Amino acid sequence: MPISQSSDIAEYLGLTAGVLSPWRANQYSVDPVSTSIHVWVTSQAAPQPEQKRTWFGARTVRVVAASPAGEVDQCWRHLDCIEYTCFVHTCDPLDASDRELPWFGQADMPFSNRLARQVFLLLMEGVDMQVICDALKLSFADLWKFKYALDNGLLHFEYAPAAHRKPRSAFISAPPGTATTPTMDSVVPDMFDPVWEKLITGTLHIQIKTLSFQLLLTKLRQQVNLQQSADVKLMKLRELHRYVERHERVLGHELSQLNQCQ
Amino acid sequence: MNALRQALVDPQTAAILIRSGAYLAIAGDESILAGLPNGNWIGGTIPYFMGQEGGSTSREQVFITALLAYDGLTPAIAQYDTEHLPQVCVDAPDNGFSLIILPAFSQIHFDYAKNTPTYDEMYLKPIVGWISGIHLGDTGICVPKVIDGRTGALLENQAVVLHLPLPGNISVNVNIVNLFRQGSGDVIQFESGGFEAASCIINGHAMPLAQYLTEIGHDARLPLVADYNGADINVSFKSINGAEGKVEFYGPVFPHIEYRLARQFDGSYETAFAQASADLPEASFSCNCILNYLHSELEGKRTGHVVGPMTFGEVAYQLLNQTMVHMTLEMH
Repeated sequence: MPISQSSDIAEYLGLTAGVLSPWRANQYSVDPVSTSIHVWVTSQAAPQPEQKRTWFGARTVRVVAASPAGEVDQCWRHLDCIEYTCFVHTCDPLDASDRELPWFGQADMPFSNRLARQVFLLLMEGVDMQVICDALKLSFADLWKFKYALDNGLLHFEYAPAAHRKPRSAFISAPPGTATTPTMDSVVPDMFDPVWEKLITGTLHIQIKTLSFQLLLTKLRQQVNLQQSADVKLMKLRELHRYVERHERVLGHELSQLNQCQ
Repeated sequence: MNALRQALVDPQTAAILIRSGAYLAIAGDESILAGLPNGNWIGGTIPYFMGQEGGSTSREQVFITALLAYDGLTPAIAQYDTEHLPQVCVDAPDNGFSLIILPAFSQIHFDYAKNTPTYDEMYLKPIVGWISGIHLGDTGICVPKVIDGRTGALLENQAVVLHLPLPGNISVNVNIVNLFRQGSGDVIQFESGGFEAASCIINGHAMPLAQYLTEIGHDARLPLVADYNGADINVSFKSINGAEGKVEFYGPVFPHIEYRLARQFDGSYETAFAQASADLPEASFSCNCILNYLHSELEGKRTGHVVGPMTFGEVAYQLLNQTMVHMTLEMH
């Protein structure tokens, strides 16, 4: 995939990617086969056009700065550019504040901060990972890596549900299946019932006989205990509620205890 | 309900079943697996079994688990490398289960063991299986492998999975039988997870683990045990190297989990196991641990009615050690 240095096109692509001064796009490549655009961003000053004398007289020549030798090319998946997936690269060394810029991302993370924010909101809304992958054309491995970092407190985002929106029940995001569709007879407490928070924080103890429930609750309690943020807790509550709704028919012993605690 | 059938059989019987189009999981010596016909099966290398007649080490027989495919619900066989393994449960049927086999001591084995709790849909969909191994006499000569029966490809660093969908009126119960219980001794924690550890935290104080185990004269056949909200989960000792100050495990330890050394086990394993599994329904998928086989000298002995390969690790959602995994199907 050849890298082009047409400064005008690079600048336009940088503009669509949201790159702001003093950062600028100085190189790009477009791959029509994979329908992807790669844009290289730098904070190096644009070279001044030089007047050079040629055989046919003076003309303006734009000199494109070379990438710093030996620097690592960092790359993040960014927001799509119409039908093309967009990747932002830089060979510049980045400090902590640079890494907060929307078009860059965190070290070893697959997504730019702008895309990461979108993915985070979808996860917080309980959208299935596979749906997110399909909708945003992300690889599952990249999304899993991102969620792993979220789960382990390596990334932080603010989440504030829109005030006009009523709380959604987690079953909206549950995959289709016989055990997932809530019925009028459901005995699963509502997603926002305090009993779930008591359970996930360990202030409520019930006897659990189902192995998958034992293992899941151990994981969720550990994650909530390690990260006290409300965002993480909400995401974990949604995961817990979704599990119980899905397995309602085999969790009679556990659900009877939860309903007594309401 | 009798949806699964398991037995230790000769290769000819296995070949007939394969040619019938049945969906199978097969455990056996590499030379036997490599000679089986292509078909709808996955397999893994292991020559240790709990057969119908008792514990058996055999390079001539294979252990088959026949999985019943229901009308209109076609099972799927898939290979996973380390990059795609995190989506194994996403690929699983909404109602059904997945049977996974991974090669021991490979990167994909380590990845699965360490990361399963973070996989999307993990615990939402049942996944069981085992870790393939080798005859202990072959150590250094060959390595554990899995096999994709569709092509006969033997794989050293990939997982093979059989996803089996079930009708909506059937649910899956995954159980474990673990004879080890937490002792009343010190609380042991780890600052970082992994298959080996140099230091640990004993009752809140940092200490070299190998030194601690040596000082208390711990019997390494007794695993570390953690309480996962009522489920006793083992981590078995592979080696305790006091000179290098390093302890290796057969499964990963995790940070922020409180472990205790297992209580000393009294009585015979086969008797205790038979009692513990007496109430379990028959005709289910099951497997047990090679360490139970070796430490309890189960060759020629039966452990109740439960059969299966004796493996280098068991999967009931996540990797387990020294534990029997048992899966049943329940009709509603």
